[in-house]
Amino acid sequence: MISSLLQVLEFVAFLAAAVAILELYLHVHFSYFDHPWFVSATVAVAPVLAAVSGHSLSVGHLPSLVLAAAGIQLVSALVFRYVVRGKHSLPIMLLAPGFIGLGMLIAYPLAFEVYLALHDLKLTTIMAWSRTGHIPFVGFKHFTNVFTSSPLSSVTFGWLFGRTIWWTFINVFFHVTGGFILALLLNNCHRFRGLYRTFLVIPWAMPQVVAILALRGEFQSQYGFINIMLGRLGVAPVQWLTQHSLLTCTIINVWLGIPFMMVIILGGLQSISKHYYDAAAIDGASAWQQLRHITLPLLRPVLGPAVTLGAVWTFNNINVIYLVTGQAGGTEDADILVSALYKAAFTFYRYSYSAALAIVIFLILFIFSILWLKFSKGSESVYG
Amino acid sequence: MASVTLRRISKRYQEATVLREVSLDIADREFMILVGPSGCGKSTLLRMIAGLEEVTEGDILIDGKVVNHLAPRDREIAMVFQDYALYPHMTVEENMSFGLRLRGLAKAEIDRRVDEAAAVLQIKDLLKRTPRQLSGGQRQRVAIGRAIVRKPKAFLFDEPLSNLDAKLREEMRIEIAKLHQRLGATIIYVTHDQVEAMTLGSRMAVMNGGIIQQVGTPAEAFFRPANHFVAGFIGSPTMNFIDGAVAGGMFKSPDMGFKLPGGTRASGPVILGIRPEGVCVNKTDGSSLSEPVPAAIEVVELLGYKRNLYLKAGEKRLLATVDASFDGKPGDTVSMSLQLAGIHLFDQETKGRIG
Repeated sequence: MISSLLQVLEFVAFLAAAVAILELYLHVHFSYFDHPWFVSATVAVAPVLAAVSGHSLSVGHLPSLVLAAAGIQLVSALVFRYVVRGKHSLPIMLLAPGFIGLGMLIAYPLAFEVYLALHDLKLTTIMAWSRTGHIPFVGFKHFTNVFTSSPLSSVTFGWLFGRTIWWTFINVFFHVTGGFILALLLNNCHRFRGLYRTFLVIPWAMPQVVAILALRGEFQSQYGFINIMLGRLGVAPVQWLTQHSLLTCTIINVWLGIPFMMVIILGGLQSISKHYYDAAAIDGASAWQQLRHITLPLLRPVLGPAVTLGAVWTFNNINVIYLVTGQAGGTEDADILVSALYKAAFTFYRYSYSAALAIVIFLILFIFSILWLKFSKGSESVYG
Repeated sequence: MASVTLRRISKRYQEATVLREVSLDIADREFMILVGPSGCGKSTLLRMIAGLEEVTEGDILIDGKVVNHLAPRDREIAMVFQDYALYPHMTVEENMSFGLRLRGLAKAEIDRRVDEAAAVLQIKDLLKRTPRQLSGGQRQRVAIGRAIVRKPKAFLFDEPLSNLDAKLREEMRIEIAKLHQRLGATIIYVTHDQVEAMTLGSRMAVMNGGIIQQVGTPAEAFFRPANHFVAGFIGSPTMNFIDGAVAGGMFKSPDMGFKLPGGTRASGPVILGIRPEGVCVNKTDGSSLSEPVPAAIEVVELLGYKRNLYLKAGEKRLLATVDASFDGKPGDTVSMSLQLAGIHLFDQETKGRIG
């Protein structure tokens, strides 16, 4: 208890120190950039500071650290002297702490992941790494492994990728259609709308782990609600969790994902002026034509980003699949890329391989998102 | 084109009654104005004719056929909305042709009609733009164009000019008047602006509190208002009202008294109405004017061609509109008289016209 508190305090102190040092650094560079001694002095001081701090933190390769410090400081000093020239000092100094946070949360993990992917960290090398800090460099071997070997016991990358696309498509399709239908119903319902909306939002508002584990119980072959009801109808028990695991995961995830789409689409529907429907009714549009020619086009600015987000979340959804199939003896039939990635890293201890797989998945999603936003024009407003 | 008949139309929302037994005959090719203050039920009435609101009681007839239960699209009417309601995701051309495309007209016919309407409204070079690239006046023209291409039985306008600035409103008012002459269409036009009501319509229905107060030509409503409300609503600046009583052909109020022109049947408590133009200052012309009373000038407004004088006679404040050449300043005392021909008398109780 005490020690973990101390660890937190230590971390806070570390953050405060980092912020203080960065602000001091910026302050010096904004105040003295046009003094004649500025470049030479800072370039001279930087290696000394690097050597002292490197030594006290016992970092290896001191000479290269010192050299890098001098080089980086030379570039930095020249930029401050000839490009920045003391401009915008207040906004930059106010933004700087945020960049420390971004660096720690995004830039460092990403860089470390790339480092891991190019080296070979796995169950057999991890002890050596913790002793010596050295992992063998293997170049792009893991990237080829991603496409040639299975992250799990048998299923291949190609299969996983196909299944992920299928899983994403089916889920997003039912999220959007289900959410759309419920939103239309709610939008036309005036009594108890708030009550219905609250009920419908519950699956989304509940902690996902609780919701998923509760539903997994209902799919249990012997005591689950669903098989008991099927049994009443005379249907033989279905092995939902073992033989139909992908279907089960899909049903659960569709149920979990509809409320989000419903809320977004309902917001979109309510922002469409009633006048367009009046005008369309007079122009002769039936209810279906109003839906097709007015509602859908005017929902586009809401639907575009929502579908993009939904697709990325579903593509990356590990909760449902891991919680339904991830226990000991669980099946691999429902695994998609990210759940396979998780299992490869934390069940099979193939860290470097997983890092490479993670980068591949990231690139797939990145390219998909850019293309989708470009072609769906989802980020454009119809209202201007 | 078609006639529109309203037979004892009522509209109620739960407890609130918005319209009470409204009856109105609108002839073929007539330009009928529904005018009244906000909340008088005029827009609701228009939306009921369009089919956008249900009729609680009564019948709406278009061309002699009851249309109460027809959907808007089966009534063959077109409507121009106050905020234009142009579809933001369609170009001007698509906006105008939307109704025709839904009806499955041939492409050539659609193009011909859109071109024709665009030429009439001078919006040919805007056809490929979207509504957000248009100014208010251009949007207004597109909204009218969308109505024209449909060749409807009747046009409904719901305060179409109230979102435009004053100068543009004047221009569009003239355009709409020309359009009516050119198309010879039946038009029902809702407005709260009495200048539009006076200038555009062949007839107007003045509404208040869900009831039609008077139906008639603009001149009738102006020169022979049916009741106190119409008298006060039509005309700008507003008519002056003086509470008083008539006895033996004499009008008496605490601040003035004079003999009314012969033949008045009125007696008892009345409201006397006189338009600002009928209030004369420093004029003596025995027979056509009432006996002068002294009045103090409180404020003088120069309108350019006219001058508004805010007068106080005894405790009564009156507005007089006189020639711009009138020379007088606040604080001056003048002699004020009323043109006998311009006097309207209303019953204090029923508010109806009695002479």
